[in-house]
Amino acid sequence: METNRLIDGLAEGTLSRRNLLKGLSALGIGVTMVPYIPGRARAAGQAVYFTWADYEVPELHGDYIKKHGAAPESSFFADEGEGYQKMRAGFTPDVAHPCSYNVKLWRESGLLQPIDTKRLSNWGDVIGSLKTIPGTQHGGKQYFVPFDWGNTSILYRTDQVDIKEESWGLMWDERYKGRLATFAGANETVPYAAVYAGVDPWNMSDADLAKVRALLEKQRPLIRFYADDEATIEQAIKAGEIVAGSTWNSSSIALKNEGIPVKFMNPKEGIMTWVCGLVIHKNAPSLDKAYDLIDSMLSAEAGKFMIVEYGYGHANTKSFDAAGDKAIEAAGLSRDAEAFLKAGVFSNEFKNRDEVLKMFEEVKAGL
Amino acid sequence: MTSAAQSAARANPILRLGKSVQGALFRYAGLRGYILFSPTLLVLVGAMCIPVGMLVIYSFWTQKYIEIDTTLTLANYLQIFNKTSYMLLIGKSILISTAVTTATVVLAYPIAYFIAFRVHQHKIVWLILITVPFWTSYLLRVFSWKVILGYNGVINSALKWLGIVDQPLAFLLHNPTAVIITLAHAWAPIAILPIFVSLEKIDRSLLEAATDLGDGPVARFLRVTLPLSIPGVVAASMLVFIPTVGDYITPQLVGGPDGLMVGNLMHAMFFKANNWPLGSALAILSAAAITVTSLAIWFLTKHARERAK
Amino acid sequence: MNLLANLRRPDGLLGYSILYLIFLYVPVLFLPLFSFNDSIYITFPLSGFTTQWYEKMIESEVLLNALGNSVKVAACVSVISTILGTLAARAFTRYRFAGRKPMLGLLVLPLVVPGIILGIALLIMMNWAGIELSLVTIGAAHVLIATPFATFVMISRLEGFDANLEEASRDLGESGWTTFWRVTFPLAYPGIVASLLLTFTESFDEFILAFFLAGNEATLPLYIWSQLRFPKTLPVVLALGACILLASFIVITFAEWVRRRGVKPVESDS
Repeated sequence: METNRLIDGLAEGTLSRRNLLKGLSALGIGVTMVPYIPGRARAAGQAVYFTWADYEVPELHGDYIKKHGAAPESSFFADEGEGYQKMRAGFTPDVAHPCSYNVKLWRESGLLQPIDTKRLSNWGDVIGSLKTIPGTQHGGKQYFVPFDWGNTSILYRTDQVDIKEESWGLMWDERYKGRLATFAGANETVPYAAVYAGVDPWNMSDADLAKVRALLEKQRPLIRFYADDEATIEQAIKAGEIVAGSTWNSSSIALKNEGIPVKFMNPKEGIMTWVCGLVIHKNAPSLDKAYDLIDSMLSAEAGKFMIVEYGYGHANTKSFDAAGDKAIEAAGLSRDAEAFLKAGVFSNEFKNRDEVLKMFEEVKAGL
Repeated sequence: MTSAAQSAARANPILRLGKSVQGALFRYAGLRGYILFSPTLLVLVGAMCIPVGMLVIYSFWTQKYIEIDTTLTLANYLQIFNKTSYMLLIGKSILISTAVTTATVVLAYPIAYFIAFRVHQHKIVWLILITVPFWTSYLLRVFSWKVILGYNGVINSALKWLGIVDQPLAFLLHNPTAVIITLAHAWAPIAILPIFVSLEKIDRSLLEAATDLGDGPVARFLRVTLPLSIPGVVAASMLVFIPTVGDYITPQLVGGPDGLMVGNLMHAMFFKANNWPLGSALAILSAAAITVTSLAIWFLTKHARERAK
Repeated sequence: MNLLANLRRPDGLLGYSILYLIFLYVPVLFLPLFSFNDSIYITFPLSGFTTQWYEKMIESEVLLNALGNSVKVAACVSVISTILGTLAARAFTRYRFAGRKPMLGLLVLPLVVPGIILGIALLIMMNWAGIELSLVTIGAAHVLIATPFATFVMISRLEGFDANLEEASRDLGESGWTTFWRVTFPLAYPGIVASLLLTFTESFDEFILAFFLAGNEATLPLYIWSQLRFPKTLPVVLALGACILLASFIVITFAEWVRRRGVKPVESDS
C-alpha cells in the first residue's frame, strides 16, 4: 500500500525538492537546538555537596539556606569508593562527606585542601576528641570536619532470633542459614569478621588476613544477600526474609517506628564505631559557600535533627542539649562521644588496604 | 539533467569537477557507501577507540596504592589465569546471559509474529503498548520483581492464602533464576522490535506462493517465515546477550551471593577495591568471551539459514 | 473489540499475546499500587490508602528537574542516533564496499564494552579534552550506545530491500536526495519508528553511563538511584513511576487520536 502511494507520488511529482530541503533544515535546526532549551532555572552558583543520600534534606542546611536563599546542590554517591573514583576522574564538588578512615587516602590523592577552622562559627562547640582523629590532620592542618558518628552492628528480630548472649557469632550461626545479610562494603563487613576472629582489623598480617578470609568464606553460604545500602536490609528484616543483618543506627529507629520487634546488638566482642564528616575539595569552585555549608551542618539545629530523626550522633555538643535526654537514649547514643566511640572498636584505615579490599571482593564473587 | 546545464558544466571547470565527482559517486557505489557510513564511523572511532585503547593499556599496568605503575606487565592476566574461579565466573555470566537471551527471544517471537501478521490496523498501538512499561525506570522494575518474588511477595502471599505452603518459599529471590527472570523482562522490547521489523518486511506474496504450492501453516512458517525472519532474531539475540553479560545492577539487587556476575566484580575492582588495572584485564577477557559467543551465535544462525534455503 | 475485529481468526496466538502483555505489565502495575500504600516499606500486606507521596512528589523540584532532563536527553539521543543508524544501515545494505564486515564489528563495540568501563573511559576522555560534565556529555554517551541499536533495527528493515525502486526513481530524473526522501525513507519508515522508540527508551532508562558523565544536573535514573537507598523517599519515586506510566498512556492515546483525525488531510497532502 505504502509502495503504491509512493509510486503515485513519484509519477505526479507532488513532493518538490524545495519542500524536502525545507523539511530537512527544520529538522536539523530542531535537533541542534534541543540541548540548549533552558531547563528550569537552576539556583545559580550554589555550593555542590557530594554525599550519601538523605543528607540533602533542608533541615541539615538551615543556616546556609537562610544566608543564600537556596539549598546547596546535592550529588550522591552509593559508597565512598564510588565517590572517590568519580572525584579522581574529574568531578569537582565543593564539599564531600567521607568517613574519617578515608580522609588520608583522599588527601594523598590530591583531592582535599586544608580547612581553616577559624572560618567556622560552630567549631568551638565541636566535641574535642573528634577533632584529632588519626588521619584527619596533616602537617598541623585540619582536613576534616567531623559531622556524624555512630555504630555498625547487627540488627536482629527479637521474635525470631534465639541467642543466649549478644555476639558477632550470630552472623555465622548455621541455624539462620539464608536468613542473614551483611554490607557489601569491605569497610563495614571485614572489620567485624576480624573482631570475631580475634585479630586487629587495622593491622592484619598475612596470616590474620587468611584467617579472616576463611571466616568470610564460611559466612558466604549463610548470607541471603550482600547489601549496598541499609534500605535493602531494613526491607528484608521487616518482611521477615532475614532475621538479622549488619547495619547502622538509623535502621533501628526506622524499624522500631514501624512497630517491628528489633534490637540493635551490642556484641560482646565489641560494637563497631565510626565518625564521618565533611571535607573541602582541593579545587572547590565556591569556597566561601563551602564554609557556609559546613558551618550550617555543624549547627545545633542540624545536630538535633540528626539525633532525633536518624539516630546518629552529631559533632556539636549543643546538639545533645537541643535533642534532650529522651531522644539521646532512644537512639542509644551518649553525650560523651569519646567514651562512646572507645567503648567499641573504632573504624580506622586498614594497614594493607589494597589486599583487604581485593580479598573481600573475591570472597563475595565466590572466587 | 538538461542540456543547458550540461553545456554550462562543460564550460565551467569547477562545475565540471563537481560533475565528475558526482559521476564517480554514481559509478563507484562503494565510495557512496563510505560516505554514508562516515558520520557514524567518525562518532564511533572518536568516542570508542580511544577509551577502548586506554582500557587495553590499563590492563597491562598495575595499581600501587594511589599511583599506577606504568611498567608493562602481564601480572593482571596471570593473576586471573592462575585462579580458575575467575574464568568460571566469566563462564557463569555467559551462561546466565545465554539463558536470558534464549528466554527473551523465544518468548518475544510469537508476539512479534502476532503484531506483524495478525494485527492490521493498530500495529503502532501494539508496539507502543509493548514499549510503555519500559518508560518507567529499570531500577523500579527490578524493585517490582523483588516485590513479586520476595519473601512476603505476591507469589508467596498467594501460595500461603491458597494453603499450598505454610512458610514462604525463599528460593524465588536472591539466586541466578531471579536474575534471569528479571533480565528477560527488562530486555523484552529490545527483542520484540527487531523481530517484528524483520517479519513485517516479508513479502506477503511469498507466503501466498507457499500456500499455493500446498504448504500447510506449519510448513509455510518453517520454510518461508522463519528463515526470512532470522536477521531479526539474530539482531535481537545480540542486542540482548551482549549488554546483559556486563550488567551488575540486577545481580546486585536480586541475585544474592550466587547470582553475582562478572560485572559485579569489575564494578567492585573499579569502585571498591580501587584496582583499575585488574578490573580492566577482567573487562578485556569478558569482552573476548562475549565476542566469541556472539560470533558462534552468528555463524550458527547463518549456517541454519543457508541450509533452510 | 476494535483492536481484535480485524483478526482473521482469533486463536492461541492472541491468547499468548495477551498473556505476554500481562507479563510485561504486572511488575509495572505494582508501582501505582504501592504509591498509594501508607507505608515506607514495599511489602505485602498493604497498610492503608494515602496520597501523601504524590503531594511530596509535586513539591520536589529536584525530581521534576530530573524528569525534564531525562526527556530532553532522550529526545535528542533518539533523533541523532536514528539518523546515524539509518545512514550506516543504508551503507551496509545497499553498497558492497571493502571493510564492510570489520566496520560492522566496530559498530558492535559500544555494546561489547560493559557500561561501567565505557563510563569511566569516557569520563577520563572528557576530562582530558576539558569538556565540562553536563547533560550534553550524558547525551553524547547515550548516542554512542543507542546508535548500534538503531543500526541493527534499520539493517533488519533495509536488508533485501528492492534497489529497483530507487533506480526507477533515478530514471525518472530525481536526484539522490529526492529518491532517498521519496523512495527509501517511506520504505524505511516502520524501521525508523521502531528505532526512535527503541533509542528513546534506551536513553531514558540508562543509568550507568549517566552516572559517570553527569555534572550537577541529574537524569531521572540517577535521581531514582539516589532515592532507592533510603526507604523514606522510595514511595515518592513509585508515585513518579506511576505518573510516567499514566502520562505515556495519555500521550499515546492522544497521538493515535491525532493520527486518525489527520488521516485524510495527510493523504491528500502527499
